[in-house]
Amino acid sequence: MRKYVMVVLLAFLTLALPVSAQGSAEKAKAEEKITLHVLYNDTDSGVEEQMKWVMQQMQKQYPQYDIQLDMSPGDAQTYETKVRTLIAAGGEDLDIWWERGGSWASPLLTAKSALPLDQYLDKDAYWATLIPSARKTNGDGHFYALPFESISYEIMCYNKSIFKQYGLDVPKTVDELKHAVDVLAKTDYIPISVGAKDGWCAAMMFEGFAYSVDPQITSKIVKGDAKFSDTPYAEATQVMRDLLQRGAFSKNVALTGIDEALPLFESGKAAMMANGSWEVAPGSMKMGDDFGYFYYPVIRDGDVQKYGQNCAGGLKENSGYMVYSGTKHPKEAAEVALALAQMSSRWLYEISGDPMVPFLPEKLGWKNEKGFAPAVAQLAKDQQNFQFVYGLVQDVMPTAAASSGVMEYTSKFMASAPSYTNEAYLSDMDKAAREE
Amino acid sequence: MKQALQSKRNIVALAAPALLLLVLFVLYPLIRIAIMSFQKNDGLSVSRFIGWSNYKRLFSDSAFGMIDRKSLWLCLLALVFNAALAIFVSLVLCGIDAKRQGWIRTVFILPMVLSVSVISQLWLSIYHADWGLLNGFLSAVGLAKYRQQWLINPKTALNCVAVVGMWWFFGMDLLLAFSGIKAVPDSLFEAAELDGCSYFQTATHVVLPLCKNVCRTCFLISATGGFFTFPQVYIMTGGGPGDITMTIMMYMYKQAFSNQHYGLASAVAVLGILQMVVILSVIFFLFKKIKGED
Repeated sequence: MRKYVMVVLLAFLTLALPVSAQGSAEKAKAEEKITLHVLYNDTDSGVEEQMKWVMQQMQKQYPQYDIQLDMSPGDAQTYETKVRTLIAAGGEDLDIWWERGGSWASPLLTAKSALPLDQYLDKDAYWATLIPSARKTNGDGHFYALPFESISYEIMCYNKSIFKQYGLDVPKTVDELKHAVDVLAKTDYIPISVGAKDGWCAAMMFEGFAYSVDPQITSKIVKGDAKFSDTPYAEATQVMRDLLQRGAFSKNVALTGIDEALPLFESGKAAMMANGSWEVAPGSMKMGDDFGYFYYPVIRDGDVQKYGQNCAGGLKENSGYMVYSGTKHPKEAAEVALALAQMSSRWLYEISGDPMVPFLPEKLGWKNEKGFAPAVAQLAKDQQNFQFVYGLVQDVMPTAAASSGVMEYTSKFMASAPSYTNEAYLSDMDKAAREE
Repeated sequence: MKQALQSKRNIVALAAPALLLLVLFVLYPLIRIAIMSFQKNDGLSVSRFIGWSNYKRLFSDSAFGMIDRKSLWLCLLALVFNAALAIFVSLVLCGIDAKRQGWIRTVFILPMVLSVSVISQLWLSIYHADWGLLNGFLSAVGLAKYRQQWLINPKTALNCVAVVGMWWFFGMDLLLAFSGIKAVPDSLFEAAELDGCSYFQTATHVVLPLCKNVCRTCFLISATGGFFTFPQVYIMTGGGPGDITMTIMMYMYKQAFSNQHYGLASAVAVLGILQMVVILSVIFFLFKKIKGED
């Protein structure tokens, strides 16, 4: 018996030796690779699909790098907290990350936590692949983020078949919108789905309506030349109050997050949804011909000719892939960040069917063989005619505290408590805008 | 062992590991928080001292005052409906047969073994204004006029959140109080019975004085839990809508991680800790006044 055991053991060792030697060789080879850690915000299944594709391409095209992707779940706030915490803790395991931009990026840039990428990339060659509005530097002449996200605007999505069922037209004025809400409020459908718990979704509605009175109002507020309590936002607030009173939203709206609001619309339980135009491509894919969108209706009937001329949104400031200034491999990280930006955008263009990317697809040889959904193609065409575009209110506030305040007070307004008057809301918004 | 403990050096050596952990993970962070509360700190840039500015800001902010009062209210609710009620229920439980005791105790303890995330999601589906279980139940029993937007209505939202915490933690207080009562020797109950004491008299003159320490512990942990309510608020409402359900802990979290005001958040923490010290001191003082076994 002992003999047999010895033979089996010997055979096992003989077989295991070459395997182990091979493993060691592979390990040594892997150790030669430069490891780069990439942090990305896992917001939904679409993003997971996108990054899966991107990583497959990266492995094929950049075998010399060992790219470790960390998909961090949670909303923008949770994610950005993770980014800041990692940096504050010394930046271990962080080389590249998706910066959500806007007021989130300001403290990172002030603390010089991001690498000026123009020092590592061929600026002219890179800019030649970008659309003109994306060729931007920060105030100091450097650029820190490589944009890749879809260029987005504030829109209202709607379900064409529900509108057809009740004989409703696309509203171009607030009165027409109120009529649509009145009709839909009597049915089983939720007239407008909005993720008010997150604050930003509802804040975009206020801004969308205010734009029809003065498209530059948010820009003026950011510069300190106007207040939320001035006429444009005051009128928009009244519109929102009217919509709340007419039953435009679900009863639980103030505690409905985007994760609940979006399925309500996509599953056909809500007739409209306040969202950004990033929803146009996936919405068209999921809802097919039922998906439609319109711009925020004008508050004053006399301004109807201005409908769809001005739109909040555009390319978000300092959003995209950033490289940590303390990375051990700045040159390589910049190269990989650029490749990641291009791959991520390419996925949007070729697979998700979204032409609103910051890169010039024809310069990079990208092809969308499936063609773009009609709604997507329409949006791409429309954006060329926008006369005034400025970032979304929650993104352009000067500080994170101001952004947070804007979202918090808007969410409170959506709770529709009679004690929280329009004046109290606007006064709180003015206070939020001054937050340091 | 007794001999070993007579040497001061041995005592220090034995206590050193625990003391070291206490200094590293309790004292040092506390001192660090106190220092940070006098600084302007965004978590990334170099922090700088700004004197009492953070405290001045908090004291002049009416919103903070309101949030603090909400936390104190949650503390009071926890004292009444967690600690006091658990002691009362334990007394009642001791009077029934062992089989039923086991069943009822298990029912009360069950929420405690669930994760707070699960509990919060469960209660969210109970309170949901459109399809919630509570509104559905009210409609089913003909009380539809009492249907509410439970977590949105400023009159109900905070208490609804409080219920979740109380339901979750009630089992802990019950377990403590019940174990305390069970430790009272049977001979004392028999003596009280022979003396002709009623159930109420036995409870107030025999059981409670003997369980004074256990009862005090119930009050202490309930007060702390109530005042520092956080996870269920974070998951269910995020302190909102607006600041309707904002507690001191949620406010601290928001200041630190949303607004990047780590200095201000530290000042909130310091004020919270100071208030808690006062509350706990009051509880200690009141229990000292009660006659009983220390």
